[in-house]
Amino acid sequence: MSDPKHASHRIPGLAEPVQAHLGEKLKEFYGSILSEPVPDRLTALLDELEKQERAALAARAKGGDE
Amino acid sequence: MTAITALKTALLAELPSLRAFAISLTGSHDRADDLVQETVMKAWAAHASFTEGTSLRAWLFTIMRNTFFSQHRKARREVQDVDGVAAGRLVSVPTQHGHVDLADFRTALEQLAPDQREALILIGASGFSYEEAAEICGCAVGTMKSRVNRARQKLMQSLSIDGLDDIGSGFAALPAEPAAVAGER
Repeated sequence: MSDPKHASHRIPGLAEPVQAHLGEKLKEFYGSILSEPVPDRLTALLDELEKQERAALAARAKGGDE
Repeated sequence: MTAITALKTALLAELPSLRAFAISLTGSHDRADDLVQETVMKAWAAHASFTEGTSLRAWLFTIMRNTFFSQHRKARREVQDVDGVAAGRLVSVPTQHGHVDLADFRTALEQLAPDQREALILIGASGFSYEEAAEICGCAVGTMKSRVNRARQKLMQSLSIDGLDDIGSGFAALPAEPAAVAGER
């Protein structure tokens, strides 16, 4: 929201300080989520997907010999 | 082999952003993590359709919102139906000295219509341009702009920001979609 190129899209009549404050709150809210630790089950999911993909590749490589 | 590692590394790096967008879509941490899980599985299965050199985050967000809205289309319609009267039913959050508490802000954000909350998050927090956000949501750029504007207006209303009469007297008279925005595509 602080991007100057978006300045023309601000609501006319809304004071800059108010919009800036809301923009900061939005970034604070979003930032608080970004800084939360990622749940183990999500990283474990990627480990599992990688494992399956490698197993599938290995199986295909074996199958290719036949 | 290295392609798999690269994919996994790239997706790992996007997990925080995916969670943040999912929480803004679902309004709930538990449902958000389910949505992230589904999105990751779909992205993994469809990674061949990702175009190298384009934004991985935008691609993932597109998958996520398609997944979310195909599951919650009915719920979303219901929210949009009451959109017009929602502002009147909101519990006003008193603010002190014009400063908005983060918890109050979060509450006000949750009360926005989903498409407006999504627009605000994409533009105001995720750092996407209006063009990118419109692409992710499959709507016109002008639609994205008016959603952001309406989201801002609703936030102001529900937060009852102090001092508005002094510094933003034109607020009450604002049209729902300012002409400057409606005129653009």
